[in-house]
Amino acid sequence: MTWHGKVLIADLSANTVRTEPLNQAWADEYLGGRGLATRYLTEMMNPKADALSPENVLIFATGPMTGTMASTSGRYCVVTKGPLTNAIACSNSGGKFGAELKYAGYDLLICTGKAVKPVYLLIEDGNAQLMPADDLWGTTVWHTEEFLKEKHKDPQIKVASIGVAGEQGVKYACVVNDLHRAAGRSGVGAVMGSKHLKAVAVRGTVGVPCANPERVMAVTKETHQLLKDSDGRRELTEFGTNAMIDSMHAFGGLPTNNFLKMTFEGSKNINPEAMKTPNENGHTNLITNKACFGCTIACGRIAHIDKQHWSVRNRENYHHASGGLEYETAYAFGPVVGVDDIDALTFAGYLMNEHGMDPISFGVTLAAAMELYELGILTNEHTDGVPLNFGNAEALTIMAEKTGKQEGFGKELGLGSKLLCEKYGRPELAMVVKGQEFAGYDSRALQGMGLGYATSNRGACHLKHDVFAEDMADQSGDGKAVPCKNSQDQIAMIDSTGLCLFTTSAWDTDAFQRQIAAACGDDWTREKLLESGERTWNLERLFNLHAGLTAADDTLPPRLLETPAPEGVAKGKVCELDKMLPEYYSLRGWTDTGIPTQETLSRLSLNEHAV
Amino acid sequence: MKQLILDADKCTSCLQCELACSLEHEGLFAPAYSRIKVFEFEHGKRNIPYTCTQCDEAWCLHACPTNAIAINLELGTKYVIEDLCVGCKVCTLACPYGTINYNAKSGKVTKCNLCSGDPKCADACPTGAIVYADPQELTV
Amino acid sequence: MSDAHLDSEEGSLQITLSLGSGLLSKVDESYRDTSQTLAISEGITIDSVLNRLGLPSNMAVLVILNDALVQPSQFALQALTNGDRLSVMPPIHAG
Repeated sequence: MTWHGKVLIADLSANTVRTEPLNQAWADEYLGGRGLATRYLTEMMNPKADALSPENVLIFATGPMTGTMASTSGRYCVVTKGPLTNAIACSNSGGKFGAELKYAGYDLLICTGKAVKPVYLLIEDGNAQLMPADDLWGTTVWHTEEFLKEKHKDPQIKVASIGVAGEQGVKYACVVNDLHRAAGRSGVGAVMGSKHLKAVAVRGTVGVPCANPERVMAVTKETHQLLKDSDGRRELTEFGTNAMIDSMHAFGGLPTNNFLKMTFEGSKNINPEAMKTPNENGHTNLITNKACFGCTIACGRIAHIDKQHWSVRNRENYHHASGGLEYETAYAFGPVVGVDDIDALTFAGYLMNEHGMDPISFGVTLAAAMELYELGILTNEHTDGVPLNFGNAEALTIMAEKTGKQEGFGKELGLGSKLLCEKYGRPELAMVVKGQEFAGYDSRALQGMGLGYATSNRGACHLKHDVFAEDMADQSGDGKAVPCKNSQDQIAMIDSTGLCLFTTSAWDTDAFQRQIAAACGDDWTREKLLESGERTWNLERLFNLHAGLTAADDTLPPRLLETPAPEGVAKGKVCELDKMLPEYYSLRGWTDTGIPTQETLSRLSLNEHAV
Repeated sequence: MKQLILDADKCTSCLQCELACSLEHEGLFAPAYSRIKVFEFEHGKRNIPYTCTQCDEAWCLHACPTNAIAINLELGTKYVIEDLCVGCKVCTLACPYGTINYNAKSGKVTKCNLCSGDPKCADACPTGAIVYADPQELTV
Repeated sequence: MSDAHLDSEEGSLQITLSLGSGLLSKVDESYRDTSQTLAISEGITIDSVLNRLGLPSNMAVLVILNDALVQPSQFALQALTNGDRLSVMPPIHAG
């Protein structure tokens, strides 16, 4: 068993911390991480509560494999109600923070209430205390991390914190850990800010116990080798996730100019080849690749901005190396806003990490603002004099900074696409599901992706299902419901282990099962694992239904349902959601209005959560 | 003689080495107790694995007042004899590299002993940043 | 964009070839460009182009011909013709 059996609860309203035993029965039903945190959340809050009110509960959850030697064992989840979606939020992050939390002796950290004044939580080996953070409030993520390591005289402290964006309620503010990894989506950072919790600083030397080292090591070696031998893994290591940008451009599924187009000629200027090719000044964007804790893939990129580039020419504090472009950041600062200046994109990425914002939601919100601008609905008077045309690289970096600091038009961009477009009378231009912005795949070209987007419990998301193989094989909605549903359950399970989704480049469910059985016990069969994933998916759904969401929220914007694809392999097609969704509900054992039937609830032991 | 050859250019800072070391020597996953450490610089631009070089002229050994540090002639390692170590920490002051450390849990010092000839860190490293080999036999 | 390749398989027809960054290190050195024109002879199939690039025969790739996806089963059957735009890309997965 790799649990400590301890949950740390920080009651911010009362300014106290306490430790409770881990609910082992729930861990047995939900595995850990995403699933277990969802179970705690449903117990501890009313789903109808306002996401930014003290009634919301913010959970940092490790999984049973977090901190072990399994590859990619650094993952943790932040689970709460998201202000961007008013639905359940579940944001997963790597880096080193998650493992450190486990090493400090805690499986979960649960934050309730709201502090009277700004605080940070310091956790050291089974001890935790809330400390005043008045002098940190209003500062950046990067300053906060450096300050806390300095203050506590320990460079090994791991920090998860928010920037001004989180403090001031930017709807898509994220929690950043280890300078450039983030629990990125759905506005979990704004929830942290609403609680006046600036940071969690952790130092852990307790470690994670290993009951059966020989068996664990044998499975670990075998699964490490599977990753080592996998072509998919090799590609992630060598090129990072951004290898995808060429493929999506060629395929014609790369959302460009707020989804008005589906290919982007400029992608050749921001692809992995461009990242490693010296520019006219002899500057090369990419420095090296970098792993999260325990990860033998190392898909992360470390890059730097050309010191002579206009964006940072007189700003030496951005001349250092930091997290570089990944596919989703390249998409969100590139095609969707029409920009192909690699240094501007990299700088925008720095600003997201420094100020604590989700790049995807920011980029797509800016794209919506650009379309409103080109339609003449927004003018220079709204935008602080900055012309928001598609392709304006300067607008990208200026607005990233204004949003991060919550200045001028940045305050409106901080609303997210949905509220921004509603405010200006064009709600159909918001490229969102349940208020959350799309990742870099157009669901007219990837139909199964469209079904996944529409049904994802946290709003549009590319990481909660995996229908890529089927979407490549055919461009219709036929046969997409089964792989969508099955992969959603499998990924809910993976997100509950403390391991990374990208291991699926080499690992099937059985490979996960061998590792979890070795660490947690042989009762974790393949069937039990997948059932726990399905249970998690349904419990998230039930949370959303209790919160007031309905089947009407399982939809896509009209641009994807009604406007035929203008180009690419799916030219002339729309997303066939109307065909896929009824099939999906039926497969899930839900009514035709998307509510789990009594039979489904009984099968998954979810009766007490019935709507 | 074989030794650990550390190549910072290949290190991704995944810390598999620290995990393997702590499991081998402490029986649990606890990088804090690893005898090998990876240091990160400038947001991860440089990641440098670092451990005891098994100095020929081992100051830790000479400084020890209880003769608790001995030489394994076959492997070239300097290792701690736990029964003799009284936890006085003089060796930690003597070591110019900071690679012998006090372990508050055991009340004794710990250092790399090359896992008695089968270093687990090298085995766990996925990128070849840590290799156990005789440098004179390496062609590179 | 590099000039048309002149080699033993050169033909009178020309196609435009786009390669994904992720494949550049896997093709023969003379084809390491994301965009190039390729001289081919009449009737050459996608399979023979992949072979000429030096890509391992069992390697999964995504092939798009003039905005249409080509399934792997068609690689040996689909002939190319003058002016074709051929994209050879790494397969798509979560990112």
